[in-house]
Formats: sequence, C-alpha cells, structure tokens
Amino acid sequence: MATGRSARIDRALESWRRQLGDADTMRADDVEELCDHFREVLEERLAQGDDWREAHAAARASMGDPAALVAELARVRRPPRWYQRWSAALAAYAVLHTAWIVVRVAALSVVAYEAKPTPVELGTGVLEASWVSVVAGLVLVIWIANRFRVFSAGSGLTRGSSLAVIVAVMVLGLVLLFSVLFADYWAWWLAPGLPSSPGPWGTISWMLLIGIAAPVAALTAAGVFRQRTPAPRSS
Amino acid sequence: MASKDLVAASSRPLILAVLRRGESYGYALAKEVRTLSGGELDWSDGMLYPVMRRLEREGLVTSRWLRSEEGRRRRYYRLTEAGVASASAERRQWTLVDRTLRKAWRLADQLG
Repeated sequence: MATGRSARIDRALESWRRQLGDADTMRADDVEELCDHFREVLEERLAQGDDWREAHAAARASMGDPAALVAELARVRRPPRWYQRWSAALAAYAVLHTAWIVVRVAALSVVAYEAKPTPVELGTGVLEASWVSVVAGLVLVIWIANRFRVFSAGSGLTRGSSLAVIVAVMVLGLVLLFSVLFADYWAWWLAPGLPSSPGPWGTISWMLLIGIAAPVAALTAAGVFRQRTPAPRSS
Repeated sequence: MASKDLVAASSRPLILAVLRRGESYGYALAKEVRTLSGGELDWSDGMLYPVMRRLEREGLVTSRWLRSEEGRRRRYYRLTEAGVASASAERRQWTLVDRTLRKAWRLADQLG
C-alpha cells in the first residue's frame, strides 16, 4: 500500500516537473527544491486524510502556475543588462580578432611557401592557430556544460573536479596567449617589416584580449558551475 | 484577506523575520508564514523561491543543502550578517507604517 502510494506520488511529481518546462530554462537545484516542496504538500495533505484527488489539487494550487514560476525564476536569474551587452561586445571582438588571426596564419602559409620564414614567424603561426583551437574548445566546453549539465552532481563530477577542469583549460589558454604575445612582440622588435609582426596595435589588442577574455571566461564558468545539483529521482 | 500587492510587498520582511529565528527550508518557511497570518495571507508557495533567490543575490541569505531525517536532500536558508541588519531595518520601516496608519485611522474614527 505504502509502496503504491509512493509510486503514485513519484508519478505526480514527475508530471508536475514536466510542467516546469524545458530543462534549459530551469536550474537543477531550483527544480529539486520546488519538487521537494510539492512532495511535502502532497504528503502532508494525504496524512491529514485528504483523498488523492484533493491532495494532488492542493499541492498544485500551493505551487501556483508553473509557467509563471519558471518565468519569475528566469527573470531573477537573468544577468544584468550591462553584462549581457558587455558579453555581446566581447563575443563580436573575439570573432573579429580570430578572423584576423586566421588571415595572418594564411598569409604566413604563403610566406612559408614562397620564402623561408623565420622560426619566430612559424612559431607565431602555430601558437596563433593553437589559440584559435583553445578558444573554440573553451566555447564548446561551456556550451556542452550548459546544454547537457555535464558538470551537475548527477554526472559524477564533483564541484572541485569541475573547477579543476575549467581552471586547467583557462591556464592553458593564458599560457598560449602569453606565448603568442611575446612571440609577436619579439618578431616586431627584430624584424618590423615581416608579415608576422603585429605592430603596436596588434600587441595592444592581444593585451586587451588577455585582460578581458580571462575574467569573462571565469564569470561564465562560475555561472556554469553553480548548476551542481541534480533533479530528484524519487524519495 | 490581504491584497496581492500587499502580500508581495510583505513577503520579504516576513521571510527575513522568520529566518531571524534560525535556519529553515522553503516548505517550513511557507508553513510558518501561513500559521503566523492565520491563513489570511494568501501565499503561492512557489513564489517564495524567486524571493529567496533575490535575497541570496543581495547577500542577505545563504543556503546549503542538507539531508533531512527522512534522508531527503533539502536546501536550508539562513540570514547573513547583512540579512540580520536588513531584517531590523525592515522591522523599523514596517513599524513606522503600522504606527502611522493606526494614528490616521484613530483620527478618522474620532472625526467620523
């Protein structure tokens, strides 16, 4: 009897949870907390002697309209407008900068084909290509983490190991960035006329990228890793 | 029954006041408020959680996940130092509103 009731509660809970909508809009810990509340109301009403229909209706009524609840939580969770604009501007900057790097790497390939490039030129090209890969990889990791909640506790990864992964990726990215910065700087110093030389503006733009991209990546990562609680399965 | 606007406005001081007595979780908080109001404040329990998120974001409340006696995971909330200060400030403000309204109504009764 108790097992049957428990299974019925689980089914009711699952049905209500589905009404909270797409998992992308709700954080797992919020869903778990709301479901726990729903269950408590349901169980209390049943313990008070309500029949199933009354108890279920009371639990649903006590939580209010699921769509309104989801919308309100999303509104509270939304990052401030300045942050959204800043992120958009930064993304545009990153795309343009990456395009510039691709063009330069392509130009270096031409140089390598027609004339022997210096080791600094080749090194710069390789490091810049690596940086593009690191940026692409980091974006992919963050997107996957958000989309599939791979860093939630349910995935088996603890919060500490998740943070270790992102810190490792960021450190690798920064090391590569600094390498590129100094390789470019040396090339500019030693042979200002070569196509690999970024000139002062190139160097300054690298420094800006380091100064802005690292904090943004950290903030984004912090947002991802706050999703560490899995949705409940059953009591 | 209190109006919807008044319920919304009072949710924050009520939550802060209840949490001043100690750590608690969502369902217990909602139940406590319902008991205190004698069922007169028509809360939608679900709407408690966006308020909790706001209080957390403002640094007035912190939360942690603990396991209940039944073995269920629950998020418990407690006031931070800023939360305690905010609870006192809310109390002063609402007391002022209450006192002012009482005086206004007393005068209105005397004239009426």
